[in-house]
Amino acid sequence: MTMLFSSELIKGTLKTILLKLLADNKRMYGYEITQRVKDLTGDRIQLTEGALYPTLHAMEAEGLLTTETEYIGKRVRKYYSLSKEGKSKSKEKISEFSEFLDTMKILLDISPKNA
Amino acid sequence: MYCLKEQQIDFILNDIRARGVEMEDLQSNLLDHICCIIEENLKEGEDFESFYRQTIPKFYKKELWELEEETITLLIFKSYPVMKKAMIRSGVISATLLTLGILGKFLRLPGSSPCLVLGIVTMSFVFLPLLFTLKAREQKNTKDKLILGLGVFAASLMCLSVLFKIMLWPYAMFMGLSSVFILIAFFLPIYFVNGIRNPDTKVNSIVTSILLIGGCGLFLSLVSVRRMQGTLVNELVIYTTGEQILKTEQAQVVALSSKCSKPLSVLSEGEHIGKLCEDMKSSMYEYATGHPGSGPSPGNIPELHQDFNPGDFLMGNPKAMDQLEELEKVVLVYNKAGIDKTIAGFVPVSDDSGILAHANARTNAKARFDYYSSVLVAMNNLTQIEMTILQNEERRLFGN
Repeated sequence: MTMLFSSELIKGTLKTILLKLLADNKRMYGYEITQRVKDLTGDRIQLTEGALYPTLHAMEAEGLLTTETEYIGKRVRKYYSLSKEGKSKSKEKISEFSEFLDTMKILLDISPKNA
Repeated sequence: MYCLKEQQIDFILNDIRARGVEMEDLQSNLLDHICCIIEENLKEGEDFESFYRQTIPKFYKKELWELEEETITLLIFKSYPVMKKAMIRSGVISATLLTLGILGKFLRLPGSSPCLVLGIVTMSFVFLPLLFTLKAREQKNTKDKLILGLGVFAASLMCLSVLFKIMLWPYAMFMGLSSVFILIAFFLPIYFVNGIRNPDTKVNSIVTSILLIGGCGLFLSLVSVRRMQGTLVNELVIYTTGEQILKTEQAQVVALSSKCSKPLSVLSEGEHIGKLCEDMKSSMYEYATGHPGSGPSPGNIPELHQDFNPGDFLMGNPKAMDQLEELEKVVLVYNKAGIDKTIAGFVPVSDDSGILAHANARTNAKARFDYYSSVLVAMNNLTQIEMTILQNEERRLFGN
């Protein structure tokens, strides 16, 4: 049985997740992002629409993302990709999170599994 | 893979709109997302509508518009630090300008009025609106936001009423009283009742409410010190009687002068003083009432600015200040000439008349403060000066 991570944990890392995903993929749309996260984490992280779209909009307003739209029949699909600023922010956030993880390991006295 | 029909897409979009999502961008995102879920998970032959009804609640906790609210909150949150800095800076700037303006006003320093105006404008239009925007974010329910909005609106109105009062602009009293009414009748009861219900804010609410009532009381006592109508009528009677006597005496002196073929105004300074007095009375009346005129009459009680202060009139009117200084100088020359020429029965223009005692107003700042209770008293003093000169003429013509 897979363990789902709490929304509090995901909320703090959502921006980093989105930046990393978009750095690895040229462009993605909302539903695609949620599915990719599910696939990559074996369903352990499920992004909610209520968290995803407000964050995407805020990141777009911040200038981290650029968007393009495509018509799929009658509906519009919005693709997100990283702006120049977003690319450098992505590296910065991943590095920050990596250091945070190392610090948390020390703080919570978590030994590496292979140790 | 299920293929959505156009009517079904319209149905979803209309439902998203009906559920309170107004941002078009968010509507498109949600529509595409829901369509993707349906296309991937709904099997041919299954009921579209019931599947949709089961899917949509997974997007929110209580209502779909939460997503839009969260989006807006995040968008504001991005500018939160900038707004906070701007609020603190505007607060410091307005407080500094107000302090300088008030000090300058008391010490009669130049530039105090622009400082006060800028200070009040910054507080009303920058600091208080920013305070509302930032504090409203911290309030969880609409009722609290409404109370905050009401309080900030009343505070802004009160600040502006003070500005209007200082600048002697119309509707200052109306604005001031309206702001106090909003605070006392609407804001305070809701704020107080809400505050005392919560144990954490109970004491704070009681103290704030007391301070608010005290503040409003002090504000009211400042703005509504109206001159008693009776006092105004008394002053009006004194002034108009003085004016009538002056006009009658002037007519008599002119008649007498032509009868005994003696020229009027043996001292040319007397004529000059009379003209200065009349000019000053006209400009004072215009300043106090807002429209030109020669003066009030018993049948026409003028609507005077409640806080007319000849000191302010002089400060804001360099021409009047020059006239007052000139009047003092000319009166000194007149008195000296009258005594030197040993004119029979000559009575020098007395300094007790009040206005002359303060003619050195430009240098003696303190004397300019609130000396006269109203414009009518100041104008009457000028009439009395004219009367003294006229009586000197009469004595000369009558041969004492």
